[in-house]
Amino acid sequence: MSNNAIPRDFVKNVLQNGVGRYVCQLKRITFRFCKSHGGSRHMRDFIENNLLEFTQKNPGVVCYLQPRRHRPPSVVAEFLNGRREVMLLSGKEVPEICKWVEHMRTRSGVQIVNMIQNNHTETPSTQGIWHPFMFRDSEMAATEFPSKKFSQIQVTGKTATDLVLEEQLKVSSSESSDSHIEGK
Amino acid sequence: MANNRVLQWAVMARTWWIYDANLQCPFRSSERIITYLKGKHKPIYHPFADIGDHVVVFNTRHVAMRGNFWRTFKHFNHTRYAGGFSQASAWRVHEMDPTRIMEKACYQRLSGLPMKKTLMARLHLYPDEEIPQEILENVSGQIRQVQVVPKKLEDYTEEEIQNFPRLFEWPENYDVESYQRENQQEPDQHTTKKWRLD
Amino acid sequence: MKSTHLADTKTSRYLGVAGIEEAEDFTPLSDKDLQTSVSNDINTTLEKGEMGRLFAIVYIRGMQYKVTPEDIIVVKNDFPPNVGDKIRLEKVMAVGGRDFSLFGQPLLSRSVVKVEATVVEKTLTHNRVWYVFTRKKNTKTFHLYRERQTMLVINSIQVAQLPQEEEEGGKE
Repeated sequence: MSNNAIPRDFVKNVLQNGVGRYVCQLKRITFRFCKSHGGSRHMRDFIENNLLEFTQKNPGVVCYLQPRRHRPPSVVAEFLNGRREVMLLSGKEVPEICKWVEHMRTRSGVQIVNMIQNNHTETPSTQGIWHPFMFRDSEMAATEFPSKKFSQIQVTGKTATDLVLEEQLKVSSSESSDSHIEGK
Repeated sequence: MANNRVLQWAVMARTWWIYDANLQCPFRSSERIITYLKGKHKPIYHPFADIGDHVVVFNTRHVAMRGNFWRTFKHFNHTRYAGGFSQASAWRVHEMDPTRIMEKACYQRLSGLPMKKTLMARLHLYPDEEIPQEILENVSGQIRQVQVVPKKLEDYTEEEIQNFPRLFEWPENYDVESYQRENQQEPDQHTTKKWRLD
Repeated sequence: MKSTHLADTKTSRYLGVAGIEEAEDFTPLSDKDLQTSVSNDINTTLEKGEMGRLFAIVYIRGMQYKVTPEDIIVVKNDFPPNVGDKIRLEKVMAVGGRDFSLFGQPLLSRSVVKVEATVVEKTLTHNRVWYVFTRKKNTKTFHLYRERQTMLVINSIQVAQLPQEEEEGGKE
């Protein structure tokens, strides 16, 4: 895909997260809602029933509640790499709000774009990068080209001529062993 | 590091290969030669990348065609002017230019490639075993032949012919040569068609 | 019994985990001296710790990844392990270091290789377009969809010494 209109990027691991210890990349969540408006009803239910559980499970995430009059409910997630994402939750019911909050928790802060590859290494080569003389017979270095040895096709089977000559060898060897018999 | 720069040059290096076309089918050889010209023998191959190698083909005069291809296989040409169509059998083309058969075989196999001309420029054809020294110096590998080169009767030594197993021996007073002389057939005697000069 | 076996194979395939019966052992080389010399060489490099960085070819959910420690791979769709879990990738098809490689037929046994990974991230893909249009038929569909993704970071690859018995052995 050579079209640059669709943003794309390689997969990134923020500061080698899982290599030593896993660190939750979400640092701050702000729940914005209206205290009286009907649109924030589900958000208020979530805050009453489900928010404490979330905060107890994730002591490393700081939670803020920001009541805003006459404004729709939303969630603002801030990540350790400095990025900030806003999620509008008006009209979404409590289970869906839980899922979106969980989604913010399990993310690294990296922007979601089309990924070019489904993997990333800093060390792609362990046995050395290929070069033209890697798997060549070292005898080739000392030969003068053109050489019959490297030109001939490598035949694996036996031709009819080979079979006939083999038979002859067998017969001649048996003859030599029976040579004391007269008439041969 | 300077080492990485040199490693990059080593990976992308363009090598020279040599191929002996003596008694080989040009079409089957061209299949193999083209893989080296395109760079498909390398794990770093990509159709957009120009990482093909040079190939030097010698003994194109002694190329072998199957069946009656020397007579029936035609090379066409049109000069794009009215009445500019001409055709010639393989044997006629071969007489005129002993490298043309091999060249055409490779060129026609490269259909649909925009890099056709550059790849053909990296194919070096020589009719006999005489190859210029500057080109031979570059060669660092050999491509294996496609067909077994059969051993002709002239290549067998007297000893080998004597020792080769026989089903029976001719009687001593039997004259083989006179029998062959008497029963010599004219070429193509079994057909009703006259020889066609194609 | 049958239902539990089926469930086990289902979950194991789902999770990318191999059952012990499924992993096949090596086939020994025809030349015994060569076999023993190769295994000895591999074992001495492992003892001395000279194998360097190891790579492994790992099979997860129908996808094969060439993997080294500290690198990140993406697994599509719902993957049960949670963020922060340490998992062992069971289906290893090949392992290699600087001077040797071991190839399984098709998998290497658990006693020989251990590949450990951590689940680092669970997100959604970008908005993918599913658009179908047929002309002159007044039909079209347009959907935007997002799938779940899991990112795994490989922590370590460990290779055990090869057994010196006749049944098992390594291939270079």
